[in-house]
Amino acid sequence: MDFGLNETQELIRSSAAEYLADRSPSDFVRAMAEDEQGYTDDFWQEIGELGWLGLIVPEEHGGSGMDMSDMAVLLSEWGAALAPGPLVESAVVSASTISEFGSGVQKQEWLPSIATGETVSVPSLVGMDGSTDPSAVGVRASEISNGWVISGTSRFVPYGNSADLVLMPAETSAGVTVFAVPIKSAEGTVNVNRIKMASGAPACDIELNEVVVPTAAVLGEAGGGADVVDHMMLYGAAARATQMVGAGSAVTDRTIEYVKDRRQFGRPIGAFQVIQHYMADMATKVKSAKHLADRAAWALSADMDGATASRIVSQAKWSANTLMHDIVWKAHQSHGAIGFTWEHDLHLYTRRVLSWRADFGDSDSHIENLARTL
Amino acid sequence: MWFEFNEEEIAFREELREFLDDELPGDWLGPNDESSEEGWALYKHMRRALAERGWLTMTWPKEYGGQEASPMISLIFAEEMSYHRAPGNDRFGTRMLGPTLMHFGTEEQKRKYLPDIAQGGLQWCQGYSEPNTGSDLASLQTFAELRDDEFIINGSKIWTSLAHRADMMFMLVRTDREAERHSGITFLLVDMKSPGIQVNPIINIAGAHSFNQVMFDDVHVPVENMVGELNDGWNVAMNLLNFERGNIDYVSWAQRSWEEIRDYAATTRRFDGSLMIDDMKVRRRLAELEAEIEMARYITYEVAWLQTQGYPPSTEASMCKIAATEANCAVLDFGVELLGMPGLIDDPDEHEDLSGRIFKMRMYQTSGPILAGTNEIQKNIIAYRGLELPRR
Repeated sequence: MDFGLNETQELIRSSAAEYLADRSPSDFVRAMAEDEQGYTDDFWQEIGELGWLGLIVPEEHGGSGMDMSDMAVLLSEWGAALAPGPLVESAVVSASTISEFGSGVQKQEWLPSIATGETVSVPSLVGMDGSTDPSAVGVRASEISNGWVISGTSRFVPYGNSADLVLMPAETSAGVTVFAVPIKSAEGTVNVNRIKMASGAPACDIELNEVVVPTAAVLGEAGGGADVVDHMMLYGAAARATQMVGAGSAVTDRTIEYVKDRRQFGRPIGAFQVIQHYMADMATKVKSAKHLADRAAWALSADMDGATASRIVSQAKWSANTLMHDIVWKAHQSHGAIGFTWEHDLHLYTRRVLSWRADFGDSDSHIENLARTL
Repeated sequence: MWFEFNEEEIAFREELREFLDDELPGDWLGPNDESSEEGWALYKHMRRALAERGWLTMTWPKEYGGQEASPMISLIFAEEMSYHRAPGNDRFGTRMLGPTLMHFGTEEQKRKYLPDIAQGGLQWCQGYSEPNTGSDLASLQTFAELRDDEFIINGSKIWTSLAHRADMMFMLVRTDREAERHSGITFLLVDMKSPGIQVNPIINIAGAHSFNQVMFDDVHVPVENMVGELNDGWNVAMNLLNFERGNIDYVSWAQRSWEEIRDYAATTRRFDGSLMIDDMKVRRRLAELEAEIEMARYITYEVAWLQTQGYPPSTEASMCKIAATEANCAVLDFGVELLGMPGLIDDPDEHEDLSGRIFKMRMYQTSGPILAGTNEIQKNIIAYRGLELPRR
């Protein structure tokens, strides 16, 4: 048992905290939420130069070859700072999925450029009905000689308007198959419709009309897409859980500062026991969810069987969903009217925590996974 | 970050499980009832057997006959003992008084009591709470007058677990009524056979005699039974309270009850012939409770880990007390409701399956969020010590 950070992780933590405090203050977070792309190319290039986009990319493909426990340290700070950009989508979910299922050619083609930030890769995991059930696939692919023709709509693709590569599940006669679609250079008609989202990260409905991709665009086996989707959901859920706990921890810290400062009835409201107990509850919830999130990242780093890892990740995401949700509303209650204003930063957290709750499996789907495998 | 036990720890857990399989009665379900003669005999047997292996005092320094076991091994010990609902893990002597004597005791007190505690000899009980002194411990009124070389005690202590079985009590008494309330308290060791002591049973809401009120009427205690300085008992006791929090117990009890409820659901059919466990609503609730247990478990593990790193845990211990006792109660609440009318049976002698025990267990565990500092007191501790919120 070890609840501490090793030297490398401590370095990641301190440099991320320092860099993001300087580079991603709330006016940047606010500006990016209004931005067409949701982040700037300059910012993304810097993140790439810091090595953060290649943290879990294997060394032979230009990354640092670290594991999810190391990544979790960054994700926690990333969540606390509400930093914008597709870190989870590109550097965690896409990088780990291409590493796991990609052919030699795919790895060589995509991983080094994901690690630098040159390529932004995102998964398409939202169902046709807008649910977070990835099996409700709205895209079909048919095999032709030398490739596939893809048509249909991929909904709510995160950062779909800046993505170079979309990892897209499609129905085929062989079953669900995941394609690595180079969306900007694809042959055929692609319409990208940006939707402004509560989280500040744009999502896009991507319509594909007879888009042709080569056989080599299949990620994993044709018909083997379910495993690839599971993998994307697993890494995404673990990453989001960590990011959520980072955000919840920051909300808790800020709320504690606020109640020490805000005076009513001649004393700080933090001197009232009901507020003190709210704060104690929030701190306890952060701690509770943090250990399960850290354990989920560890489970994906350690040599663990898939069924066990899946349960550990579902416990983490369900706990983060449930507890961080409680935390943001208690934070609002403790802030009173000022926290209800657009000007105050609290809602920036609220918006993201509520959004992330739905990502990579909502509470319902994770508890369902745990219940099925009881 | 590493969330697994090491080989030594896993081996110890295996050894302990084998021991418990050997020493506990074959059909043992627990918990033990120390007020029955049979239960008391089992308690003493287990305490001796644990002492023989040196496990009662595994965390003690080698100079006092301990093994200097790591906090993680000690946690595993408590985790398994509680999971098996095994009696004999004498927290009063080994976990509370022993470390206090090592820190504050005279050489003579150490010689007289520590080897006996290590061997599972005398039974100790704890005299802190009083009828008007619950969470506000420093308001205690039981008075000891120092006359020549003796204290004369008058007053009463309440909620005293095992007082009816104990040979000795360590207690807090007021020795200076004029002093600031934390400064007039002294820590004494008292022979329970002293004339003037009367132990009155209190039956708890589970219907069991688990604790008592102890009356003191001119009870004479020799001055050499004082631990620490006169009027410095608060300091001695606060040090001791740090040893008291064994929150993994609640996690283990919750885990065991959860497993019993799951197994009951997996073997019990409803009127339509379906197994309870095939109901997705049941499975989902079990899954939620499982996650809640895991959350409490890992805070508890963190407390042990902090100790291995030489950090004294404070707010983490309070956090895990809250999380673990709440999870424990939630598990049993779910079980009582799931079982329906059978969950409300209060007759374990006539009903051998879970239905006969679960309501009683729920009643017992009501004490968890209350004892050893109510969960509200724990929140105060988190707020003041951890979050540094203002007191006024």
